[in-house]
Amino acid sequence: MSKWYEKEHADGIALSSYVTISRNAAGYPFGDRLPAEKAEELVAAARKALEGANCREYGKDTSVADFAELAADRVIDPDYADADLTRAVFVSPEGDLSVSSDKERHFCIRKSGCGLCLEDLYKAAAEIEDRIGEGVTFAFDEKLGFLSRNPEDLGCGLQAGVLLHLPMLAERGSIRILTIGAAKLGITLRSGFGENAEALGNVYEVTNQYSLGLSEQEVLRRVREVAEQVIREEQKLRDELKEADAVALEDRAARAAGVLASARRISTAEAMELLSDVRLGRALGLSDALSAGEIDRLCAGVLPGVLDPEEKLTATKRSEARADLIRAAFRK
Amino acid sequence: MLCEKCGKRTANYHYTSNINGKVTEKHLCAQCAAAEKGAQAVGSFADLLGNFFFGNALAQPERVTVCPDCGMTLAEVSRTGLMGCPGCYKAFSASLAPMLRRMHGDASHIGRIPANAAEEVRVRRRLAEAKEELSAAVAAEEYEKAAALRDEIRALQAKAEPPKAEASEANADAATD
Repeated sequence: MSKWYEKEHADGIALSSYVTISRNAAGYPFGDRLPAEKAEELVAAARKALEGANCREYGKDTSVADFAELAADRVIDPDYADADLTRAVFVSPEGDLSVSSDKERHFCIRKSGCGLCLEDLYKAAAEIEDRIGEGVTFAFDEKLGFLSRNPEDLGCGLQAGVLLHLPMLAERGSIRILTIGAAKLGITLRSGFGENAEALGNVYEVTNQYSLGLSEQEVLRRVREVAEQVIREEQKLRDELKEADAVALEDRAARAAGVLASARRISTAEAMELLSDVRLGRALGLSDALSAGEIDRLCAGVLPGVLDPEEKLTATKRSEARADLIRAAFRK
Repeated sequence: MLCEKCGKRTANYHYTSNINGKVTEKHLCAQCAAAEKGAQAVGSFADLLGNFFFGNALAQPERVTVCPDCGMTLAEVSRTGLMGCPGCYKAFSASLAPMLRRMHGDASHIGRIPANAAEEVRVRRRLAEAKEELSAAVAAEEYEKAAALRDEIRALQAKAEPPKAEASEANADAATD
């Protein structure tokens, strides 16, 4: 079955959204303090809540490659893509819903979708939360909210995020000023692929920093409003540039597609940069070299961790494998 | 480009960090990048946060130093900044209070409450909501709605505070201050 992001979807600045709801069971320790049989009870509770959803279960024997792919597809939180940290993950057939149990959180419900659609995603995730809640008493305190291993995560336990494609803002060097503005509202604007690395492919993520003192609706509203503001700024620059010199943008997208379609060796950074150019051209109606879903698939697929999860290849061989993958997409 | 650290090998690893708007860039070779990563892991961020937020926790006179639910010690919580189980919040509440204030200010939870939360929690939550709705209704001169809300508030108050002596009510007020 095709993944959620491979389906035909609108081109735009907002690539995708996700929400995660974190919950812990009262009376169950966190991390290594949780005995194996109790951990199994939690996993069983998640399994029961997802009955009939046709989820695939990943357990202890999940390979590094599988974890890397789950993280790159954003099925699970990339920070927990590790068998040492994650006990079990249940993933829906299209990969848009996952429930995981890891060292930090007994239950982490994650729902993703294309474009900017936080409210709908939250509704779907909250239904799963209710179903898990039928069999589990969530650890809760009236003042602190849902109790978490890390006290920074107290509150309603909702994290909402939107992935944005911001090539124009990045080119103008406006990301920093937006980051500072967003921080004042408790919102982080950071690189979408890898937390500290340079934003590969000009993909950024807008997400809330905390959830204590904010209702679910407020978290969703703040993240959405900051994302909308950033989208307006990016759109303005795109429109200006298209108005001024559309051929320059068309040329840029076409050249990028040309290199991607014929390169025999390509680095992650270059591939992501060129995919960004193709994506920009596509969003402005100036290129149809690759579909939106195909670009998303390649952006995840060219990352070194996904391409070569066990690090068997040399950097050179990896860049050849990356180029092969991209060329294959153009032959479709 | 050559590695910034050893100046010998080619820099294949490029890091950009943005801490409160202060952007720093690093260009390193594979070996130096690995060494750098190791160094970061040792002086881990959790330790720093632990010290920052929990600095005073150990200075507080605390009767409980071990969580009865999971056996986590207060010293370990202070060191790692992480709880051993949900029960730790209650066990170490006095020591955690200053840390939580530093981390979250005076914020308190206003979102969803679990379906299986105690009845009294739900009543108190609805009471707070109804009071806010009442002020809004009065301000908007929606008197019928206000009257209905007033009745609901009375009923909720009766549930939340079963007939008690005045002294205990005063205590309840002091506790919410």
